[in-house]
Amino acid sequence: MKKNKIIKAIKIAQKDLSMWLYYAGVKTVDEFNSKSEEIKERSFHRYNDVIDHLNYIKKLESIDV
Amino acid sequence: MYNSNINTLIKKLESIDKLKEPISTTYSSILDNIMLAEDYNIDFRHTLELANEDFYINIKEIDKKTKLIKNYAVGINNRISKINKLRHDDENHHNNKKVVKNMNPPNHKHEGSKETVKGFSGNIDDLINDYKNILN
Repeated sequence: MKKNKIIKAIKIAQKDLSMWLYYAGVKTVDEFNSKSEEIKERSFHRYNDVIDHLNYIKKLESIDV
Repeated sequence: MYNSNINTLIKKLESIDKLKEPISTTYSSILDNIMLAEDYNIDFRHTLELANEDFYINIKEIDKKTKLIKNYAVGINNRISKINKLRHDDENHHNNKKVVKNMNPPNHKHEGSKETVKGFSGNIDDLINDYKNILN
């Protein structure tokens, strides 16, 4: 049961990642990594929202049930 | 955010007309994510898609015993212009900046494309009133 909830949360989180990348002005994680300093300089939050979201996905994926 | 757990925040946000339906539609996901946040001590991150906007609730940390929110961001972005309409958070990265030197705000809000920093009480009802004004 919990496993299904985690899988569902990961799917939603991966979809939402596109949104956070969009607001950071990039399309992919690779592009984000290559422009990270520029994005951070423009807006700490735009940068940090992507970092936090990537960490969130990692945490979800690491849950062992 | 003072004296609020995630569920209380969601319930108060439901009092905003434009958020009521999107919250209702995604309520099972919200409950699942609250459970994951509380059981596994991970973030609570939820986005509500509105007509031209994205409303988000990102909670990085909750108190293990009291379940009160300790580290958060709540905001709304215009999807077309990408402009930050309003964001409340308690990030401490502004503490060294001159513009907010005297405020040193543990809770504050950002407005507009320049993310202008303004003070915010941290009280959940003040937050709800801000979004009522901007969304209704």
